[in-house]
Amino acid sequence: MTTDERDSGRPDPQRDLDAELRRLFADDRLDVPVSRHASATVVAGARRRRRNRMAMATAGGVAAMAAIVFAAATLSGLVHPTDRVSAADPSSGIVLSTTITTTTPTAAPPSAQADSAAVLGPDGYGDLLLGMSWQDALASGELRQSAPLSSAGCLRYSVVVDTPVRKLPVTPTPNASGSAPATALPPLPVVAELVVSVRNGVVQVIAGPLLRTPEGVGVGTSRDVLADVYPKLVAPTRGGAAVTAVVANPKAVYMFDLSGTGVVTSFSLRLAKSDCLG
Amino acid sequence: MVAAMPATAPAGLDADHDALPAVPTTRSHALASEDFGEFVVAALPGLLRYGHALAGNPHDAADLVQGVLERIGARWSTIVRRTGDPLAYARRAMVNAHVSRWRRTRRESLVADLPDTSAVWQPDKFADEPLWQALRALPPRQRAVIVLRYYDDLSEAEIAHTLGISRGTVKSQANKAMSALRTRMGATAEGRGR
Repeated sequence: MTTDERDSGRPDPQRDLDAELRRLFADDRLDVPVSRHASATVVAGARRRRRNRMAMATAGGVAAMAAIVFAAATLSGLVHPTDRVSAADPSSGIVLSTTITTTTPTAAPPSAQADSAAVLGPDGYGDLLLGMSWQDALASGELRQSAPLSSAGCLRYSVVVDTPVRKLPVTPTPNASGSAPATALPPLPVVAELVVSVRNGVVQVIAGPLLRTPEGVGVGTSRDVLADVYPKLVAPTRGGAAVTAVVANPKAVYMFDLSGTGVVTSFSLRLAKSDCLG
Repeated sequence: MVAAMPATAPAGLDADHDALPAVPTTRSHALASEDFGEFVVAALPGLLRYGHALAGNPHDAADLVQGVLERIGARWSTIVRRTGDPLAYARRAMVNAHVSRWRRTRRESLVADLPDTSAVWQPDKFADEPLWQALRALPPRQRAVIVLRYYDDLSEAEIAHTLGISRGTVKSQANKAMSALRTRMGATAEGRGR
């Protein structure tokens, strides 16, 4: 993949950046896959807003509509249903009856109800541990390579586990350009992503939505709960991630990416310092 | 917990579908869901891409798109009549919603939901892309100017019109953005030593 290691004799860095930006915006990776119920969800949401504006629905009618919209799946597989909590019905509180609360706004952290298989940290995920050699990681049999060996000696692997995770309702969806998926079988759910240094072994484990920290934090946790659970959390600078040391593992840190609405969208366990880490 | 998709479209949508007139009447509060629904199906992939470029991550992109489309749908016939180009209107609305979101109170995220309703999770696809990370670090209005210029190919005047700011402001925002990007990219290239 081309990077900026182009001919340094190029006289116009402005033109380079222009071209790079256009290339980036034409990239396929910008596609956001959606479930096939996405448009129905939007139409239903529009109806709800329209009816709210009409202000003619009874309380029961609004509740029914809100519950139906909530139940009608998320817009994209990457978005949590909770993001769809209606801003138009802040006082109804009715939507929440269809959710399961796993965190509270108080200081009590979510309990690690998940069994140990779903915990990331303090040392790693299951038998995939930070610092473990590349060969040992491969020997686990749970890895599927997701990025080729880079010139810096770094690789990425998806951790695929053939366990209860399979119960995820993985619906084959058309990809963003509308064509049908290439395979009939749903892909193996990816539980986590590993960044491996050829020299230093496993340097980072990036959590999928199924994993939680031992303190119960995971994808979907709000920023407030995060700050409560990790009092020494260092807030992100713009565009960056929130970072906290891992108490039981002095060499490691957690990093949390937050969405614009203040919700963890991804997190990882990684060595505080290593090659292969940006 | 409702994890499964409903077997049919949400109740109410099908029921009303047959009752809708082909052309929305002025008096009734019927939503021309036929046209709007078709519009959504056609527009979603492109708008999501656009949202992704604007917002910097797929979560916020989907958030942005859904909010804008729902608002448009609630006033569909008016918007079609007034603008004649709901797609362009949607894109403008997305840019402005994105820029102004920081001032709006963020919606309460009251629960951290169990993730088993997500489809297959995908890790950040742009993790290795320094320019993307540099873009994400820009303040929202600067990023919007970059997206409008390099994704939408709008002229300075068009960008000014879309954002409701002066051309001078567009110019200075663009300069700041490009300068910040250049600085970051320069630092990245040195730091990585790839």
